[in-house]
Amino acid sequence: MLFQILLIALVVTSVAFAVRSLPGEKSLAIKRIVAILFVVAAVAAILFPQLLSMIANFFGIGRGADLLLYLSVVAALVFAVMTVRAKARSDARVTDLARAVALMEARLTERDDSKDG
Amino acid sequence: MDSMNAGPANSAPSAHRNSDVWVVIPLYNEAEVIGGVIRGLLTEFPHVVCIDDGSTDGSGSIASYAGARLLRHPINLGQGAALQTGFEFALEQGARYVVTFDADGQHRVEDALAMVDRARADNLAIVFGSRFLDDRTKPGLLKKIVLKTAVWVTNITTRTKLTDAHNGLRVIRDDALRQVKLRQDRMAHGTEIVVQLGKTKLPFAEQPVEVLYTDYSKAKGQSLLNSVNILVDLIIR
Repeated sequence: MLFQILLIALVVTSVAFAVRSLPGEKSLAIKRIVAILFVVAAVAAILFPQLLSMIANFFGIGRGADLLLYLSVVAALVFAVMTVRAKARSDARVTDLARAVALMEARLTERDDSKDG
Repeated sequence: MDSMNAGPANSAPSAHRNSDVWVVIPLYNEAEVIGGVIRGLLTEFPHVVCIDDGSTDGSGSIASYAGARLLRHPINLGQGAALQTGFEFALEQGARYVVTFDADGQHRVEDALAMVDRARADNLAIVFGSRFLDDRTKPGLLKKIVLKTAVWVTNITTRTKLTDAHNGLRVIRDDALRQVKLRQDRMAHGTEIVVQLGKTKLPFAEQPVEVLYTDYSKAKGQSLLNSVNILVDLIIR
């Protein structure tokens, strides 16, 4: 039960974190810290397979593999949300760019027209 | 660019009583009907601007030949993005009022004219067209359900009480327009524009208009599934 609560809290906070975009450098730094922690944890889990099971047991889960699965699901979820948001930001930039091009083109035609007339 | 000068837009006298009105039409693959729509508008409004949103069927050239000012998005962005481009262009051109009009021929020029007249007479910043204020328009049952749902969502997310949120026919005065920045590129802009106009606290009204459901517009109109897209677009932003 403990782990379920923890997992739900983790899902909610990670999604909230992913949704609330932090200013560029800060969020990049946090992403990198998480990545490094992930690498350390992965190496530790490979070297000491029992460690994973011990942690899992501590949270009331039967096997370490289950813990791994849960965490992967959370990671995949966070990744998906962050990807969607990143795409939305990039779409917005493309829109601004395309609009600027369209307006610039219109201004140029305007100028040509007034020169001709 | 001869086609642009050939149209009636440039020959219209500047003393026209609606010379401070710009009609903004987002245009995406409506080659069949766009010419007629523009010619109809130009009899009453000297300034019509089409935003060709990456059409692949030559709609843009037809619009330009029919006498509209043409802006081209280099890629398809969506109707909301096209409207915003049109707004910024119209403001640059010194528009006092902007009329948003659909390219598919489902709106009536008479309605647009009446709405502009009313905006002037009653000093309104925004006039929304509504197809549900009288019984001229006959949408199908399914369409009615979709539209009523859109209205319901719009009304609970905004303080503006409207009867028809996703009607493409609107009149917006420049002071209201300056406070609009559409970020929803696709169809959810219908709700977004109401939200942003509502925030301006400027006086608005609804005007009964007739929406013509021709076979053409029925084939092209929003489907029930698209309302799902609208909802998701509004939630994830």
